[in-house]
Amino acid sequence: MKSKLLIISFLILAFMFVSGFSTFYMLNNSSDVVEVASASTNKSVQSKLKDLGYYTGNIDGIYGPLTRSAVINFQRDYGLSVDGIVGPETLGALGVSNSTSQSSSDLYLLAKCVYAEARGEPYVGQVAVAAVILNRVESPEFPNTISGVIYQPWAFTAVHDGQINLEPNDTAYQAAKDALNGWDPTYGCLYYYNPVTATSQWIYSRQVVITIGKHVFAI
Amino acid sequence: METVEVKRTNRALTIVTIILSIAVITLGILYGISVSSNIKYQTSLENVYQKNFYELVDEVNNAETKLNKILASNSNEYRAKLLKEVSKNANEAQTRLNMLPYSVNGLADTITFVNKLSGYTETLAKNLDDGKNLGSENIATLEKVYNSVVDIKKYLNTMSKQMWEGFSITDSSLKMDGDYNYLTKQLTAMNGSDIEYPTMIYDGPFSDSQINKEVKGLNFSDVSMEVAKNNLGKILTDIPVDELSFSGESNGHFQTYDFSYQNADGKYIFAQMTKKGGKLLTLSSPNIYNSKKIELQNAEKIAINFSNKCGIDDVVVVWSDIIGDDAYINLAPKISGVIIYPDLIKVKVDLDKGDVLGYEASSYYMNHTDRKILPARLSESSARQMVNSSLKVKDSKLALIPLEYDREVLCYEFTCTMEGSTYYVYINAINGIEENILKVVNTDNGSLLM
Repeated sequence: MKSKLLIISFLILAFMFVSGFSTFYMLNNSSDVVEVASASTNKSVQSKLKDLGYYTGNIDGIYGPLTRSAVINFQRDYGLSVDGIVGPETLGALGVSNSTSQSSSDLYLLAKCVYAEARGEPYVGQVAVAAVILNRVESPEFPNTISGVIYQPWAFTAVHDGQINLEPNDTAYQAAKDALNGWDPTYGCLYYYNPVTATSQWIYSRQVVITIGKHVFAI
Repeated sequence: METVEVKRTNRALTIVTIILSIAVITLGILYGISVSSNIKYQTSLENVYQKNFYELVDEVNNAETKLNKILASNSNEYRAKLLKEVSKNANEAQTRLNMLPYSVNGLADTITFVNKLSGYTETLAKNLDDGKNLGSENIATLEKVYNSVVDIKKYLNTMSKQMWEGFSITDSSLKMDGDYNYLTKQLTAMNGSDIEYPTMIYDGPFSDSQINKEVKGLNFSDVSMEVAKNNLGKILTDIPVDELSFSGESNGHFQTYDFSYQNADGKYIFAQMTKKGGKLLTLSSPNIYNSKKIELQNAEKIAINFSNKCGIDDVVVVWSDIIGDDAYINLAPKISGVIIYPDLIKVKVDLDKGDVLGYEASSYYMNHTDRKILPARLSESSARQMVNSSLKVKDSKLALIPLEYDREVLCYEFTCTMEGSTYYVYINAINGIEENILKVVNTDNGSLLM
């Protein structure tokens, strides 16, 4: 009897601690973003390390144990702080330019937004989402920069709920690049919505141009 | 035996009570900590919003004063200076306004007005710099614009007073009222219901002529979906026509029939054919191979061939680069020795199988017409004199280039280098004006022209 009660109370206590801590943790850490180099930067790093004889694996852009040990060996030989992390110092020593130019960060932001908003969509649907963002930049009704449009409060659900901080995959990058190169399957659309989940009545008043995958694109 | 049992139960209950109390207290503390950190976050967020709001008020106040001075001034130089400042104020105001958490599109009229104000005043300033006068029509428009700005200012001042009394932007943005949040409802008085926004007629950034551009290159009659599908089948020769599935129409700037194709290997193609003439407008397909076997030169040949198949002949490669496992190739028509940049066609070729993964001809069909290109008045050598002497000229050719707002000019394109960087300098072939300079910027995602 006693042991049963003890077990139950311990279970309750444990549950409360766990849930309490996890709530606390969630509230305080939801904005933490793990900094990961983009796949394309990783590819450049791998190919440089391969040229120098440190890396033997495939140039796949994946920062795995092989890449890590190659980076550590490189850092040791070149008198850098040995942490296995490809920071600005290591990139500089390798002669790899990180995404520093304005356009590259635009591409990264665009790819992030595409991945967060439309990763389950067909490829052209992803290009279309990127194109809508770029059309908004051109439109007088919206902010005039890519970052301004993406981070406009309430503009994109996936930005609002933090999914924007997920690392984009190669498809999202390709789609973003295509859109920056002028591909626009929506021909000037400024809005898109999923008719299954859209809550705003207003959005239905817009003229529909095209439906791609789950998204309806409208002017 | 029974009393022992009761005692045991009592002891156990006491222990449970103690443990539960500890749990409650711990949870209480944790909750307290999280609430206090939440309040901290909310305060810093609210502070950022308020800063943006007050900066918005400043920009609008400044724009109002300057617009008033423009109406009072009699000097074109001073007016041009003020107009440029108003343009900056309007642009800044737009940025601040768009950082406030109103519901998207809740303030479309206001944002449009502010953006157009920026473009309009910039264009007027440029006209004054070119020696033109404002003219009575523009003065009349500026008076109306001024009145609207005064109204916005009045409204923002009322809102400022509410903020001093504790109005929270963050709180009001989280409360919904129909489709829009409460903040949007607060601000909608600015959105065309109480304030009338005048029409600004000009040819510049955000002007209506820029938004409603007409399609010049599709002077054909409409074709049926079947004809369009057959045309597409003739272009994509390795795919049986029957396997192309019609996936709808799109009615944007261009009217198109849309087709898609998917095979077991995961290859996916999406193509749009114009209703007028049944021409291929766009083709998109992701790269599924991820390897490189083909040289860039071969990819360029593939791109030119593909464009010929689509019915566009006489094109040359004007730019190409390998990004990842794809070749990005830009083509433009070359007519009597002149490269026609406005009619740009973009092609993406996969470097494994040599498939065309992307084709984009909307610029071509938007701008293509039978142009009468006047011959160059300047010789190549005298145009070369106009290039900055620090640049080393490597190559030159004649090109028709698009400038802002639908202007096209004939230029000499000089490919130059300076300290390891490559530049394209465009010298007007009629009057020798330096019209544009593009710099090749190398990034980890290929080279860009900026």
